Amino acid sequence: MSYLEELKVKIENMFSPEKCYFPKENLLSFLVSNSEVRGALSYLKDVEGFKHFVMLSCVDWLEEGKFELVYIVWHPEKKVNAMVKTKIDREKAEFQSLHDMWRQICTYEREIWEMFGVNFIGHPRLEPFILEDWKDMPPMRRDFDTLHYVNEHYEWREGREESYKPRDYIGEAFDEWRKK
Amino acid sequence: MSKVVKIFHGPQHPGITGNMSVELDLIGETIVKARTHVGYLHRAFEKLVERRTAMQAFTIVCRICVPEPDPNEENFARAIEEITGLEVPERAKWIRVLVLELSRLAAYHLWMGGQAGSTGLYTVPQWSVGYRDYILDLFEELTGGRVYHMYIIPGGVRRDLPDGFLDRVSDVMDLIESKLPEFDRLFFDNAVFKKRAIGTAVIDPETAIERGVVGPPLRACGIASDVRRDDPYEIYDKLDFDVITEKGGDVYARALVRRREMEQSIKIIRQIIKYIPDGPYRTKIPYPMNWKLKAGETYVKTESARGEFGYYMVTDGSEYIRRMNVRGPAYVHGVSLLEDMLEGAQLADVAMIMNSLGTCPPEIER
Repeated sequence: MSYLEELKVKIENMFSPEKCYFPKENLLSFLVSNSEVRGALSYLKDVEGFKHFVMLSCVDWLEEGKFELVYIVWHPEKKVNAMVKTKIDREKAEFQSLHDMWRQICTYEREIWEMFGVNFIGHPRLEPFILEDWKDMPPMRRDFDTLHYVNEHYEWREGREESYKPRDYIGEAFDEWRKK
Repeated sequence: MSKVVKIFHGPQHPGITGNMSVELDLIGETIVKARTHVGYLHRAFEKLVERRTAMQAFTIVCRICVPEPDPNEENFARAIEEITGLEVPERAKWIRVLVLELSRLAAYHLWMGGQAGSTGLYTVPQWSVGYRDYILDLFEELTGGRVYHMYIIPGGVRRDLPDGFLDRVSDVMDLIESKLPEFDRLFFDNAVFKKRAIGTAVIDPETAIERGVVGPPLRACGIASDVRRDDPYEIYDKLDFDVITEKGGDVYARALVRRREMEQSIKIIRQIIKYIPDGPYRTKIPYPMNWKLKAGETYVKTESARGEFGYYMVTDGSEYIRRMNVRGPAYVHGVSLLEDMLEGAQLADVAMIMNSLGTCPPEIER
């Protein structure tokens, strides 16, 4: 039994992960409830030795009305990755800030606050990061209408009316390719 | 009481590595507070990829990093392959590693120019950018593009090596290797550079791991961490190379790590020239223009010239990628770590520290 398989058993006993599986050989992924994220991450960091924090990502599951926060950590000695995931409500998007565990989480949370509108409670510095004077919906949300935004703020260049729908263009080329 | 002066270092500054601004509070020449401001080249690749098929997105990802685009292409291709279970032919893997190592050499040459230029040694940039062009010539012959290659695609590489290409690679490697001692005399053993770099911007090993430092800055603290060795991808487990470490954790140690890694890259490329197998270079994708990607998720990473370059990818069964999140080394080095390291540093060292950490704004605002 490899180290990750043992870890999977431990995680399943200690927490109540919904979906605990291996997307690939040296990567363990599991989904926990909101209250268990800090516990799971500090267990991985302090007891198991996943010292290196890789990244924090956010996935927008618009159909379910959820945001999924993904914390990826790396074990420098065992050479394995672990992925702790949690789902938060999309309407009232807030989560506790974990910047005290790893300093660089600060930057990731700041970007997710800006790009998805997730409010991180206890974050020391929720201020604009990449965008400037942005008053619209947070742009990385999937219901942000890019075409509408472009039509409102920019003008189309003349002579490009024919080819501005890439899907139609590709559809025709695809049909021609299929005929051959 | 001393007077605090606020100045902006960038976004237009010859010493920095891109359009990025650092807001500095100074007392005399000493920095008391630093704040980074990014967003001057916000290009939103992650948003663009959400509404494009895999084959359309593949032409976008290489633009995430200008000096070294190939780790992006490789990461993207490998993430798609892992999710869909697409097999890659053996020869394609060898060609990929050849391209990755050539691009690492090119990136180190560009870094050498930036690092020396920020120290005031203006001959080195002229030389190193010149020798980098020999590598770009090889890329032009192989892929058609000098900077952005769009060569490593899901399923293999776009086309096979041209006739006699490996001989020309071998010649360029001989040339670059013969010039390395001259760079030593001009730059790495230079008294001015040593005086400026030794003891500047020191990171100790514990903080380095805690703060998520990767790549040459981490190896300069004496920690032998390299994705090529720790989590081998493509054919790196079949190749013979050393993981370079140095002690000191300062700007000079980071420079030496990169200098010695150039030799390792040349060593790897020579092995590839010698042992590359024959065979197909690409697996056909079933429906390139309407390719339904299996639902899944993965995290892949590559060792780029600046450290661990990772892609987190989620697909949902449609032809579009649900979410692609890029973890560039500069995201950690260039924001939180840089702000902390600049406190107490001298104004004249800002560009040098940024170059030494490998700050690259396109990765931060990808």
